[in-house]
Amino acid sequence: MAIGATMVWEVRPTNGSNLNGGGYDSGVAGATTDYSQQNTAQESFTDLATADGTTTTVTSAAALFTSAMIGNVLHIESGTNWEPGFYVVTTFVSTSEITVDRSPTSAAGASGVGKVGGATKSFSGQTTQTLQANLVAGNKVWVKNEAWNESVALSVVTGTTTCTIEGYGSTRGDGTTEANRPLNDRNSAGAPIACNASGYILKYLSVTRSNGVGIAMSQSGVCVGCKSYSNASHGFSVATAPSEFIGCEANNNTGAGFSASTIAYQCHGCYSHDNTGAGYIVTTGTPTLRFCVSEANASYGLGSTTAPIRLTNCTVDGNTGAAIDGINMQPPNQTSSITNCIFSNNGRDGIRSSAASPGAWDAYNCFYGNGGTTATNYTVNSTSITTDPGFADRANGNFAVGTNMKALGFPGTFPGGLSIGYLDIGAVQRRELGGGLYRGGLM
Amino acid sequence: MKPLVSAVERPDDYYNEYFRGAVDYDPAWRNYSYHAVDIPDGTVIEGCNFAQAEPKTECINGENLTFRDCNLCNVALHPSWTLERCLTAQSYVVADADGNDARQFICATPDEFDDKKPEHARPVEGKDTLAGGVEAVE
Repeated sequence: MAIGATMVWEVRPTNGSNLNGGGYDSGVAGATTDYSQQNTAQESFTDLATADGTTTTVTSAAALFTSAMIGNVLHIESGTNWEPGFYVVTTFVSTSEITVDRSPTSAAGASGVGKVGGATKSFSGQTTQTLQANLVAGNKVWVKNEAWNESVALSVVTGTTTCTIEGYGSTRGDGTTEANRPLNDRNSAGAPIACNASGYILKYLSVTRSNGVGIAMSQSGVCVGCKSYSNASHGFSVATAPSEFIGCEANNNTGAGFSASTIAYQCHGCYSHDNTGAGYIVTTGTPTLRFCVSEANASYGLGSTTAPIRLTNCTVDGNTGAAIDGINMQPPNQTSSITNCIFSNNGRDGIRSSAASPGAWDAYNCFYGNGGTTATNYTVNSTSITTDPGFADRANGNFAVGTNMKALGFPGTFPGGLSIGYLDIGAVQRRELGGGLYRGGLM
Repeated sequence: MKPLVSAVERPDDYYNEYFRGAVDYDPAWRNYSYHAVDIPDGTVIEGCNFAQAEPKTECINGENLTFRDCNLCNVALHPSWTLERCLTAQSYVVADADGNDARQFICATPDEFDDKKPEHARPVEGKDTLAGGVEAVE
């Protein structure tokens, strides 16, 4: 046996301890009590012993074991012949004897030092065996919103079974509100979070002040509700394998908001703004952006040196610079599709391709107030419009469109003519007067 | 508001895309990358980006300013300022493998900067001095 897929870990970056157990697996037979959701360990041991290097039986003359420890992690730190690491209590025999998931010693063990229960403090700060090196597919890690500053490198889990790292405030699951999310503030140190293997899902985590990239996805993974700001390079980066970003925000980064080098990404409902680089930049692959906003960046709203690109219901506004376009793209244009998007108030063109080629699937877009022309080397479809989008409060980042964009988006009448949709142009749909409350949001 | 620089509008002292000239601080605009900025003394600035192309660029005029959650990358800092959770890293613009702009981190604060420039730093083609306090670059 080993650490199970159903293990749930608890990280409390200020009040936890790297010596604590830090985990609880409710899937272990007989597990009833989670001791990981507390700052201090439930019990500490200094006299743990085993009979040999193969047994899973652990004894303690102190007689402090309880049946409620089943499913909790015994974190061994040191001892004669002990192999420091995270072990799961699988059986309670008596107050002086338990069994764990695997043999914890290389020979007869003595003077073992360890703790059961209590949240751990970090992913990387444990002395011998780090949490990040012991995560397995299926695990969940909760990170409480406490002062946090460490470099997290996730590189163990691979494959389609995921490992989720999720931030929260006071109650697990409340990270949908930004104020509740833990902030990994690196204060000019490196790599707040780097996913170096596939299968990680990052939820409701914020990072800032990295000396490089904020969140680096080197293999395929997913970020949900994450924020990366004021980093010395890109907010989010993708390499090697595609990743997906849902409801993420990148702002004030010295590089781009979202960057991809050797592979592209998909963004849904993301917000990239006020970055020194582009809002979104891709050099290889097919970037897909849906309902995303790119505004007030000091470079392109979307810069793509690859083709094709796919944009649906995006708002690209106010990206600043004498030669800065809403989209700066590469031919062949005809493989790209740009639909229901707004390109407004950008420094130069709404869309510019580096060379002319047959037209893209360009439909129902709005071009307004750009410093250059509507488009260069790019054919704008006759369905596009040039009216003021009427943003609700652009200066304060509210890009809800006005009535000028009302129900002008594709597809409108569906094939067969039996269904008619009323989709606005732009990323942020308008609320009808007297309309109900919105329902969508992160979950 | 319109972007600070466009194909048809720019500050009088605009030089190039890395030295975009001097502007006045406006709370409605948060991105002052590559600009010199005049800020009224005593102002509290939250969530703005003042990143510059080259280390220790003197680009912000104003005293007793409070910066909160701002990007001050490559900004020369004034002793009267208060910084709360701001990025003060110093870096150079370099070309990445694809030829795009990237950043090479040099040090965490302007005080640690030793004037060494990486060989592959991308020329940003500044000129000797720009109005608004932007210092010379090579």
